[in-house]
Amino acid sequence: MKWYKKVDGYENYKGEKFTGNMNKDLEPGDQYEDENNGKKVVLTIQQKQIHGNGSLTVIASGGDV
Amino acid sequence: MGRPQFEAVVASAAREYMELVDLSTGINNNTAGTTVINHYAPDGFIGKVMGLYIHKNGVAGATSGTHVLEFGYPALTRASGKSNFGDTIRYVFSNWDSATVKQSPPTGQTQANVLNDLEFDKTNPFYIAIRNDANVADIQTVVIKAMIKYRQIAE
Repeated sequence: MKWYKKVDGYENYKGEKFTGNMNKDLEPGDQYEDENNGKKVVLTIQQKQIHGNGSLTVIASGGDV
Repeated sequence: MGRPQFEAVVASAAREYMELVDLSTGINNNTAGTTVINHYAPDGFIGKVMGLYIHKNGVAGATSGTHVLEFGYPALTRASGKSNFGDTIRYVFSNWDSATVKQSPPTGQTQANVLNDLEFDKTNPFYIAIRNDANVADIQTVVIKAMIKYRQIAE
């Protein structure tokens, strides 16, 4: 699923709003628009790792729009 | 003489502990590509970054351009270091030890201040972004190690 950044949050191609935590609540393969270093990028979730203490690391990568 | 009275003392203090977290990541960033690392605290805990070490080599095989690494919060950069394509980016001792094009904040003291209040929780992560603006793909492992203090705020 790809999530597009709008003025009031994120929505998918059907116009449905995203209600969770963008990034944390996505799964590997999901995509979302972000901004990095002043440029708009589309990121794909690559990996989610839950550590022994319950902390979570999410790695995403992509390129400029 | 009556029997001594003992009263159980139940520890009510919040739990707090330190942990060295290895966030080192293999990247494969094309030109204009970005890798983002978000680290979230466990439920009921605040994480505070006490120390941070980052080492990123230059972009192998590149002949022009730059690469940049920033950290802080999503959509709110607190520090960034940019180097020429062949130069290392390194953050150590709360300073940009190597960032040959631009260091933000610009001075040693303000760079040190960045870490002083860098906290995160289960919804607002500690954010690191690595961007490649060199003329070839950037494929390497970026070493990122953080000493984090977790402080319990709720059961």
